[in-house]
Amino acid sequence: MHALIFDIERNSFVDGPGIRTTVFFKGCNLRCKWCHNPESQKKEKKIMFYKNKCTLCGRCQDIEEFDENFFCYNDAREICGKDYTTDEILKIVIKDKTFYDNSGGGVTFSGGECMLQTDFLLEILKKCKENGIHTAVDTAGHIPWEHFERVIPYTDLFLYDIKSMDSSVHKEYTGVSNELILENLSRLLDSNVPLWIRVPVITGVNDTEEEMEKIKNFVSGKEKCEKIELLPYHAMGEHKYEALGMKREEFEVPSEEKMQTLKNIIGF
Amino acid sequence: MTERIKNMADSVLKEFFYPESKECIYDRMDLLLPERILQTKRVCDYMKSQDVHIPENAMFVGLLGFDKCPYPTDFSLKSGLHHTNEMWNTFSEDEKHIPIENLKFFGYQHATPNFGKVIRIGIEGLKKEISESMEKFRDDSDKTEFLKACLMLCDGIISWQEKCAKECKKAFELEKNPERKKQLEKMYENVKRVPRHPARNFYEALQCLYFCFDFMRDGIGLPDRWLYKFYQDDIKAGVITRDDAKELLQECFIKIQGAFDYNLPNSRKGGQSHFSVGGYTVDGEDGYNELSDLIMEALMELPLYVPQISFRWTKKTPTSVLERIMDFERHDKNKRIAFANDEAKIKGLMNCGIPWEKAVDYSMTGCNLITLPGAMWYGCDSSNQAKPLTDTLYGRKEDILKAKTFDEFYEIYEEELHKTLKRAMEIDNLQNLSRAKDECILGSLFLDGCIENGVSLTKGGALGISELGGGAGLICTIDSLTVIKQLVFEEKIITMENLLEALENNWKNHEDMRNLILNRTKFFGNDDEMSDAIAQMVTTSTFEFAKDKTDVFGKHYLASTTPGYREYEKWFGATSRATPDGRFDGAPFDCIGIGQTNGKDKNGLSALLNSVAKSDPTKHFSGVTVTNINLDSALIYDEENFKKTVKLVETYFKNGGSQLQINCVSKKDLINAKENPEKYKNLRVRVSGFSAYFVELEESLQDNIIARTQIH
Repeated sequence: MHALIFDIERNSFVDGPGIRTTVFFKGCNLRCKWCHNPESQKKEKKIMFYKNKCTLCGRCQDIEEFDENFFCYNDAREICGKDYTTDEILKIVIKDKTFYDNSGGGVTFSGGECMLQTDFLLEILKKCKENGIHTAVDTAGHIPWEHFERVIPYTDLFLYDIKSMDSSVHKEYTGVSNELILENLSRLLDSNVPLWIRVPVITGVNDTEEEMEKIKNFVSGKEKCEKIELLPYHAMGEHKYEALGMKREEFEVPSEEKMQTLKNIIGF
Repeated sequence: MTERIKNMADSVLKEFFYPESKECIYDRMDLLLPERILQTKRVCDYMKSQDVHIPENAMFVGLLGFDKCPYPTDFSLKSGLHHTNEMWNTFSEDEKHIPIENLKFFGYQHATPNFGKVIRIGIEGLKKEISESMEKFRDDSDKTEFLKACLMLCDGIISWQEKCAKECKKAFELEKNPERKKQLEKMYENVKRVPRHPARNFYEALQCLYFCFDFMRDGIGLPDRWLYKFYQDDIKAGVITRDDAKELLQECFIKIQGAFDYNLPNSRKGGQSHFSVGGYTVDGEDGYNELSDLIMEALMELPLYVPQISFRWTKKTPTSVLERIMDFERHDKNKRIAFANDEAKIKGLMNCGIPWEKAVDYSMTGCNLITLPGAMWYGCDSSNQAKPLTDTLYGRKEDILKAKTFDEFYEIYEEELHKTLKRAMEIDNLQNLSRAKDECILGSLFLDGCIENGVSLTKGGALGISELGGGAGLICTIDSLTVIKQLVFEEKIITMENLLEALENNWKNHEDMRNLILNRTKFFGNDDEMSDAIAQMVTTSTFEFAKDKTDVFGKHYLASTTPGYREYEKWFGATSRATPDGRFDGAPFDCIGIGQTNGKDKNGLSALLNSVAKSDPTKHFSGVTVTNINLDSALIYDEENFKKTVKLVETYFKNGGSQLQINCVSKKDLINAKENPEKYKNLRVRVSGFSAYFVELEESLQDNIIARTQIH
């Protein structure tokens, strides 16, 4: 079984507890306008072209678009997305096992939307568990509940995004409404798996105190919600939009004071 | 920090702490004495003629500068170069920066005087040992004469001590302020006793250390072991409080800073005096005790640059202790702390034939050299680790073109490596013999073995280690060999002919190939099997060559990679031609020590640290090596991320990594500092074995630090 992966980041401090390796699946069913991983959206391979590195050597003129054997001497053209087997992923993930064990870390499957490739996800989750690795699944949640039911037994932690509590705002900025997402979240909170909520804070979309109150109320009294993380918007994906020939929407970066105010409301 | 200490610390960085040295008039009849007796007598006369200076509010006595002493007393800087020094100074600074045979630099390394022994047995104890040794060697006139000189010097030290005591007594008698009078009385009692006699309590032990430091201004070894018993007993008996002890320690540290003129650029680098805390005790327990912690706290409160400190980690070190030290480290603006792993270091020393009981007492000294108390480093300064590689590529063309496999190529490289190491040993021995023309009696008193052997430290009398290995170019070698294995022999994308042609032309008209190499090669530091295996091959080849070799004095060689105090990566680079890792003719080598590969590692810090840990530290890197990482300041001050960083370092050590130094500064700040130095005057960074002001570093070093791997 293969899955299309666009990045594997070792030594991540930001995707769950401890020191982790994060595996990014390609393909997403949301289209968040602030997305900082635009290369993750399409579930097909994409060519990323960095104009400033190209020396016009012409070696890529006559090749097939996704020729795996071709490589650009100057790193100007790369294929985004690579097929991995579960064993190939495990081999990379397991390299940092001592770091996970010592720090309470593990592996995080993210994306894109990793739950869109459930069969594969299930298999790699099982293999990680067999090897004693803590597993986290990072999801936007717009997935039929049955998929969750399948992965829950092998998942130690869910990282669950909330973009907006308002369905129409959600639809406007992500392309989908939030009913299914919130319904799945409710069910997950009633299941036995620990869960962290992650909120990307986007100026003009969800950066209000009311929004934070709503999120807080939604999870109040749910023991399994261990944490709510607020992640300020950042514009780091800019060069990737350019390399993909995509247009990027601009948002203002929330101020530190703003973030602090919102964090105080959330109270985690 | 008390007001008194604060004022003293502020002033030590502004004005000269020591009294002005005085010229001394010598008896002309001296000239009739044998050389070493003449030298010793003059050192004694010099000491006796110096003024006793007791700084206002000081709690210790005994500041002695040797600036005007006619005989060099500091073995690492002066003695041994006595004969060659004047000739050496006929070279310009630039000429001194050209390595000999593109391989070695002249220069002496550090030692760790065994002050612990003097605290324990006193100068009288040394005299007893000398007398016993004299008895043993009574038929050997040379040794007897040397020992006689040692004895004279012991008496000279005692005379200087008596002079200090006398002046202290005078000051005490004249003092009107009753509180100060009491202090001076106590000081008088201390200096009356030590260092002549064994110390009986914590204060006396520190007075002994304070007094003796001037006789060999170098590392101070293991104060948390040497003083621990005294500290425990005094605390228990209520003789001293923790705060009292801290203040005394702080005054000692201030004196050590005061011994190095802060206005000299090298003094600001802060590697002159270095000591250790923590580490295994002889019974296999972790030795980080209450006094270790007090020493850390005392030093970190002070705004000093010297001494620097190495924290010795063991598998039994609690995470909370590592976290405490890393907390000190992240807040230390002067960047004085380095981290050493006992698991690797002790195993490495034992590989050199040093037994466990001795190895556990190692200390880091100078710019991260490893020594035992009472031991010194023999041999030259750093060597060029990329020389065997360039010799292979530029000198053995015909042979390497015939190589059909990487292993065949490596055999040729290994021949060159061994040839280079052999030559390095020869140069080392020549320097050792040059130093042996001189004697250093004062230093010999404080290093183990000289008295016992009746031989001056300069002639190999002291316990010691010789270094074999190098200072810069190791990562360049590993990366270049990886390029050859991966692209030439395995993927066959480049032919050896083309590669050699590109190197001959310094990559001119071969820019595409160079880019290919930079983008395609799985360089060292990526936790990749191929380059990790090559790193092991190179380190093993060096270790195997070194392990049964001894120098002209019979000292064991320890394969290592000296971080160095100077810009070795630049100087060796300047004389080395283009290398297969994409380096141009004369360009500096990227990496200092082993670790950062300036952007060639793309898999994150854990991958880099895995590669380093796997490269067999107990063989090659037990001796000397530094691994530098940069941590973003935004990250390190976030408590949750800080805790993860502690775990990262702990895991690296558990995996066998030997040493680590950390900078807590963002890449953005470093780039800004390079562009706007005036705004970043106070930014201090760890460089290799030392720390320095970033804006005062050479450009190549600044770039090197900017390019280090960061956690993102």
